[in-house]
Amino acid sequence: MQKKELIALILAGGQGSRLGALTKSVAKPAVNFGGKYRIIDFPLSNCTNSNIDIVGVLTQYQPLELNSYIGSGQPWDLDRSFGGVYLLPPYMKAEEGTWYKGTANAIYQNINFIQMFNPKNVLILSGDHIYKMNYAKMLEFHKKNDADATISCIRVPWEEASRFGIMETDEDMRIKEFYEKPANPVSDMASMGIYIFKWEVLKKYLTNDEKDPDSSNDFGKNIIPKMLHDKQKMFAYKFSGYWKDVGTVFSLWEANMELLGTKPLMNLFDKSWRIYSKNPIQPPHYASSESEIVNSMITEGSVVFGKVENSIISSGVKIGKNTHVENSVIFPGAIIGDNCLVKKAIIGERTIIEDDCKVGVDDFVDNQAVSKMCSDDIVLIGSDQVIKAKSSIAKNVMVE
Amino acid sequence: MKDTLGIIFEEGTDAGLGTLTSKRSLAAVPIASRYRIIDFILSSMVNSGITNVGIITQKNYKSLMDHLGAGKEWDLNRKIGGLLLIPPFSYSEGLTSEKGELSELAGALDFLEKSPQKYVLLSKSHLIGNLNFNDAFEEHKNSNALITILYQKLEPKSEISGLKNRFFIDTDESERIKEIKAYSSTNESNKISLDIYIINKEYLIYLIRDGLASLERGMFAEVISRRLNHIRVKGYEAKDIVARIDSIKTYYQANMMLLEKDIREKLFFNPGLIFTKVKDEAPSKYLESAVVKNSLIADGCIINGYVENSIIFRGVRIEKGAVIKNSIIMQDAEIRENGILEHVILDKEVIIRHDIRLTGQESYLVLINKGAIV
Repeated sequence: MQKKELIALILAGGQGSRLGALTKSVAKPAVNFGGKYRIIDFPLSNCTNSNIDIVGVLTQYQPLELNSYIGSGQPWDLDRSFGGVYLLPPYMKAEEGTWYKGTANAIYQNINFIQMFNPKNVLILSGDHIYKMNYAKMLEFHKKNDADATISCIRVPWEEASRFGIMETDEDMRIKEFYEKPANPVSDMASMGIYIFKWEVLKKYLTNDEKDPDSSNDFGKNIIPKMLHDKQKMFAYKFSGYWKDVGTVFSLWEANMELLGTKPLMNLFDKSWRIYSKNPIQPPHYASSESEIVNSMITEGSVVFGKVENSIISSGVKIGKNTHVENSVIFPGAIIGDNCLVKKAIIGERTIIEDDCKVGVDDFVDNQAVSKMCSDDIVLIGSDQVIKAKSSIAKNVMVE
Repeated sequence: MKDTLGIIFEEGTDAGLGTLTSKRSLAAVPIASRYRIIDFILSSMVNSGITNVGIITQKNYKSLMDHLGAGKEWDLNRKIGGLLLIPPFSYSEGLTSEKGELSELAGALDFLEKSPQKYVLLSKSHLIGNLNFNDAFEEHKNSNALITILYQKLEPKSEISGLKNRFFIDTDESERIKEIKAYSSTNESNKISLDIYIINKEYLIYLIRDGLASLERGMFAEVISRRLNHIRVKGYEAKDIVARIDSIKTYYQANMMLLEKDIREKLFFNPGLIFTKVKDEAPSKYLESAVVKNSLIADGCIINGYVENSIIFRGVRIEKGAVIKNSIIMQDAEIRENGILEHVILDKEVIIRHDIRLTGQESYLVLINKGAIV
C-alpha cells in the first residue's frame, strides 16, 4: 500500500470542566463559537485547508452531540470514498477495554487505526483551540529537518508561561529542553499542543510508555520528555498568528469578542482560509424597523427587534422589542423577550429569557451565589434554561 | 408520495426578467437573500416525500447546475432516485421553430420510462411557495382522473398583472375541469392554474409521444385543454401563499413580501424548510455606523451604512455613508462610501463607486447587470 504522507488525529475527548454549564452535556470541542461555529470547526477546517484528507476524531466525554455534528464530515469536505473523517471512541478489545487514560494513551489505543493508512507522519491536534494554521507548512519544516517530532509553539506573555509546556531551543529551532508547566519559565515559547511525529518513532514510544505503570500517558508529561532524553531530533515550529485556548468562560467570551470590529484579531471573512461548519437550514436574518445593531455579528435565522451592541448572535435567536443586549454571546435558538437588559452574558442554546429580565446588571441578587467558573462580571446561562419574567441574574453568576 | 416522481421544467417563452435571465435560467435567479427561485418548488417536492426529481433545463443552465450540484442540500444525492438534470433535447428531424412544451418534456422520456414511480408531479420553475402536495396527491389517487391541476382562487378585482401565459380553469361542482383558457380581459373564472400537475405517468408518456408524432405545439395547459372532452381532469385548490415570477415587478414583489412577518414565517418554515446551496460564509458583521431597518440580510455581509426595506444577499459590502432603500442587492455586491440606491436591483458582483446615486421608482426599478461597475 502506498504510504500516506500525513494523517491527522484530533483529541476531542476533553470534558472542559472549566466551561461550567456549557459542557454539561456536550464535549468542549462541540461548544458553540462565533455565531455559527463549534470549536472543532477550526482544527477540522485547518485540516481541509491544509489538504489533509484523513482525520481521526477521538471522542470520549459526552460524544453524542459531537458525533452527530461531525456526521459524515461533509461540511468540511471530509466525506471521502478513500479516507475522510473517522470518529474514534474507546472500544472493547479482546482482553479488555478501557477509557482513554491520557492524550498518549488515546493515540496508543488507536494504533490499529493509524496502521490502516500506514502514514509516514501523524499530526496530533487538540479540539479546543481557536486558530487558523496551515499544517502543510509545518510538515514542510518537519521534513526539511528530518525531525522525529516537531512541536508547534507560540510566544506567550511571560506571566502566563507557567501555564504551558515551555521549550528551550537552539538557533536552528532544535529543542534542547521541554518543561511542562514550569514554575519559573526559562523561555516564553509555549507548546500549542500541536505535534507532528514520524509514525514509526511515535509508535515505539507509545508502546513503551504503555508498559510503564508510573506514566500518566500524556504527551507533554511523558512522551516528549522521554524522546528528548533519548536525544531524538525534535524541533520547534514557530507559529505567529491568532491562537486561543478557550478553556475558561472568560477566554471563550473574549475569543468571541475578538471576532468583532473592522480589524478583528480573528478574521472569519478570509476567503482563502474559510472556516467550515454545519450550516443550519435557516432563512436570512431579519432586522426590524425598531432594531439597532452596532459592532456585532449576526447569523442567519435570527430576528432582531431590539438593540444589539458588541455581541455575537447565533442562528435562530430572537431579540425582543425594547431589549438591549451588549457585550454578549447568544447561542443558537435562544430567545430573549421584550424589555430585557442583557450585559456581558453567554446565553446557552435554546434558553428562554422572558420579558422584563435583567442579566448581568445587578452586582448581587439574593440567593444567587457567585460562580467560580465565571469572572470579570460575565454571566453564564446554560442551555435549555428558562429565566422567568422580571427576574434579575447578577454578575458572575452561572445558571444551569 | 414515494410513488411519485417530480419534474420541474421551465416555461419556453421569455422569462420576462430582463438581464436577470440573460445568462441564467429563471430557475437559477437569486431571490430572498440566499435562495434561487427553484429552491422553493424543489424543497416543496422533497418535503412532500418525493425522492426522485428530474429538472429539464433550457439554454444557459450552467448557473443552475452549479447551484444544484448533486442535490446534496435537498437530500437528493441518492443511490436510488435522487436528482437528475436533463439537458435540453434536440431533434434529429430538424424541428426547431416554435417548439411546444410537449417537445421540451420529451427530453425526460427516458427518465419517465426508467423510473419505477406511477405518478408524476409536474411543475414549472417560476413559483415561490412552501407547499405540501400530499393532500392533492391523495385526492388524485382517490379520483379516477388522469390529471389533477392545482389552482388558486384570485380575490375578485385583485390586481391582474403579469398574467401573460397564465391559464384560468372552470370546474363543475365535483371539481372536474370543464375549460382551460388563457387569460383575457373578458375572463370570467377566478381560478388561476398554478401550472402544477399531478399526472399518471403512463398517460404523460403517451401524451409526449402523441405530441411528438403530431408535432403538437403550445403550452402544456393548452395540450390538456384540447383533450378535456376525452379525459377526466380535476382541479385542486391550493390555499398556500404562492407568488409567480414572470416579470421584474412580480420578482420585486415576491422579495419584498418576505419583509412581512406572517408571510416570512409561512414561506420559510411551514409546512417544511426551504433548502439551498450552502456557502460557508461567516455571520454578517455590523460595524460602528451600521443602521438597518426592516431588512433581510444573509451571512457574509459587512455593513457600515444605512439599509432600509431591502433584501441583502450573501457577501455584500456596504460602506460608511452608503444608503440603500427599497432595493435588492445580490451576492458579493459592493456599495462604496456615500453610494445611494433606491428602488434598485443589483445583480451579483456589482460595484457601486463612492458618491454614485441610482434612484428608480417602485413602478420602474433600476436593474444593474451582473459584474457591472457603476
